[in-house]
Amino acid sequence: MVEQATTVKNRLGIHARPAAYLVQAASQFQAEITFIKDGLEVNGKSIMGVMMLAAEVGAEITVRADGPDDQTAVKKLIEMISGDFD
Amino acid sequence: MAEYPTTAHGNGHARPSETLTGTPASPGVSIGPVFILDTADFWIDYGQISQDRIEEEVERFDRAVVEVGEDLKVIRGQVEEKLGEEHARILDAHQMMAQDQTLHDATVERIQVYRYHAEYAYRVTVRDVARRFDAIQDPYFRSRKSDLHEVERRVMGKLCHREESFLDQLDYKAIVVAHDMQVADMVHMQSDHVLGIVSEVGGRTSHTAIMARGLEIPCVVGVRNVVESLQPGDMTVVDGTRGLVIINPDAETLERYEQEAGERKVEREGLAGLRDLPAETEDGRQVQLMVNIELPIEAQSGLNNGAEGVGLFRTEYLFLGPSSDPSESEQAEVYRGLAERMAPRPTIIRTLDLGGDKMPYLEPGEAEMNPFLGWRAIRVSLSRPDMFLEQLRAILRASAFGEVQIMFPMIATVEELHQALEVLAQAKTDLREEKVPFNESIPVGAMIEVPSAAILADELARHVDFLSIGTNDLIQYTLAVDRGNDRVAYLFDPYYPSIVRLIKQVVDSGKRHGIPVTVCGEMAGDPACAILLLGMGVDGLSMSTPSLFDVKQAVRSVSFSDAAALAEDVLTLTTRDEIRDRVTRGTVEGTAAFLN
Repeated sequence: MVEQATTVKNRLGIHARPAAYLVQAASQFQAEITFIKDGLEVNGKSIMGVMMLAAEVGAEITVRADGPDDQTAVKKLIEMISGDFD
Repeated sequence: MAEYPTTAHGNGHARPSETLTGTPASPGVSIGPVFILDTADFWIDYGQISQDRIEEEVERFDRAVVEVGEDLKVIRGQVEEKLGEEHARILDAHQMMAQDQTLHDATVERIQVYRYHAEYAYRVTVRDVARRFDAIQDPYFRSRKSDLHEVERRVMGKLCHREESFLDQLDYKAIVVAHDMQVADMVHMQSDHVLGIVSEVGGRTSHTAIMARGLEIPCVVGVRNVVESLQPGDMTVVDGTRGLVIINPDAETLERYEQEAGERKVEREGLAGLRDLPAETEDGRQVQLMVNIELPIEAQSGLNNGAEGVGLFRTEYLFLGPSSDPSESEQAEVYRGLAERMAPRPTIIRTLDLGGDKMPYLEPGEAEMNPFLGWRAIRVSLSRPDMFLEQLRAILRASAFGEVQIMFPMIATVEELHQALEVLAQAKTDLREEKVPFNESIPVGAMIEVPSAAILADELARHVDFLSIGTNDLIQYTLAVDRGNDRVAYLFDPYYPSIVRLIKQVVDSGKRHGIPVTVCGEMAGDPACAILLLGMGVDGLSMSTPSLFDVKQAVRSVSFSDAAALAEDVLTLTTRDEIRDRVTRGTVEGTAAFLN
C-alpha cells in the first residue's frame, strides 16, 4: 500500500471535468484507489465519489493505492492533482 | 416538411387565452404550436419485486446504463461537431456518472436487499447523492448537481421505457418550450423547425438566450410555470421583443401579431439586398460595421447580415458555461475557430469581463455591495495573473490563424493598461521561447467605458493600436445611473451632452495619435445614434446582428458632410431634449432625402 498527499492546483478545484480525467486515470490501474480529504474517503474510480470530495483549489488530498501497481498509480495521480489537468 | 398535425389539438373545445410574462431574450415574433421538451416526472413503481425477479431487475438496470452510455457517445459526437470540443467534454463526465461504480453498486444493493424496482432503487440512490451535494459549502460544486440530474433523466427514461422528447423528434415547425434547455438539447437548435423558444429558467445571459439571439430565433426566458400552463400543440405567440408568451391567443391578438411578423419578414427581406453593399455615405465616407457576439456560432448570422468583422467577442461564456474552467488549449481552439471563420475580416477578442452581474468566483457572503464599482473585468484579470496569462496566450496562439485583435475591458487608469500590457509581453516572450507561432504585431486596444479612461484617452492612446468605446457602461458610470432602477432609468440616455462630448474627446484623442476609434454598445446599433457617431468621426461601429442592416441603411442614406454638420451642431447643445430633437430631425431629413 502506498499513500501520499498533495494540494489541488486547478483554480476551480476538481469539478466535473477534472474529476472525469482523474477517474479515467485511476481506472487504468489494477490497484484499489482511495482519495481522502478531511477524513472523507472515497473510491478513486468513481466520479460521484471524487466530485463529492468538493476539492477546491488549495485543498489537501491524500491518494492511497493498494495493489500490484500502487507505486505508479500514486505517482501519476499525485502528478495530476498537483498539476493543471491540461 | 410535414405540416403540424391538426388532430393533436385534440380536446375539441377552445381553452381560454392566457398571457405569461418573462424576460425578452431574443427579439422578434413567432406563432405556432408548442412542442414541450420532456420535463415531466417518471411514473415509478414503489412496490417490491419477488425474490426470483432480482437478477432480472439488476440486468435491466445494467442494460439501461449501457444504453445511456451509447446514447451519450452519439450526442457527444453531435455536440462536438456543432458546438465544439469544449462543450462536448462535459458529456464525458456525464457518461462516467451514468456508469459510475458508486451509483451502480448502491442501486444494485437496493434492488437486492430491499427488492426495489430498478427505477425506484436508482432514484433513491441519486437522491441520496444529491442530498450530499447540497451539503457542500462551495457554491460551484453544489451547482454541479444539475449534471447529476441530467444523467438521472436519461437513465430513468430508459428504465421507464419512455424515450425523452429531444428536439430531433420535432418533425413540424413549432415553438419549443422547456423548463430548462440542456447543452445536449441545443444541438438541434439550428433546425429550422424551431420557430421560437420559451424556458422557465434563465436570464438574458443564459446559454439558451445567447444561442437564440445568435440563431435569430425569438425567445423568452424566465417564464414561470409555462410548462404546466401548456398542452402539447397549443397555439402560442412568442413575443421575444416584449417578453410575452400568449397561449391560445384570441383572433384579434393573433391577427395583430401575424401582421407584425409579416411586416418584419418583408422588412428583413428588403434589407437583405444590403448585405453585400458597403456601409458608405452618399459622399463616399466608409464606416466599418461589425458584430458583437457571445458564442462563435453567432458569427455566421453576423456574416449573413453583412458584418465586416467581429468588433466584440465576449469571452465570459467560456468561464460561465458548463465547462467553466477552460484550459489554454481549449480557449485557443475556440478563438482560432472564430478567427478562421471571420478571416480576412478582423476578430476583436475582449479579455474576460466577469464581475458586475456575472461573478462565479465569489463565495456566498462575499457578495459585493456595489458590484459594478467593484471587482470586475480587467481588475479580476490583473488580480489573477495566471488565469489572465493563460487567456492572453490562448488569444496569441489563435492570432496565427486569422486577424485577431485583443481588447482590454474597463480600463480606468494608465497603470492598469501598463500592467495588462506587461502580462501580454510576458505571454509573447513565453510563446517565442516555446517556438509557438503567433502574430508579433497583434493589434491591442483599450475599452473606454469609465469616465476616467475617457478623460485620459490621450494618455491611453499612446500605448495602444485602437480605442473602443463601450457606451452602455460609459453612460452608467458618467451619469451614475442604474438602468435597472425604474426611478432613475430616464438618466440612462446617450443623448445627454456629457456623453456626446466625452465620446467626441475620445475620437479626437484617437485622431491625434493616428489610431482608429470604434464604438461597441447599444448606441452603435441605433441608426440615429450611428449617424451622430459617424459625424463625430468614429471609424467603426460594432453591434448585435439584428441592427446591422438598419444601421447600414441609415449610413447609406446620409452624406458625411451632413452627419458632420449634425455632430458639430449637437456639440453646442446643452440638454438631452435639444440633442435628441436635433438628431432625430437630422436623420429623418436624411432618410427622407434618400427616399426621394
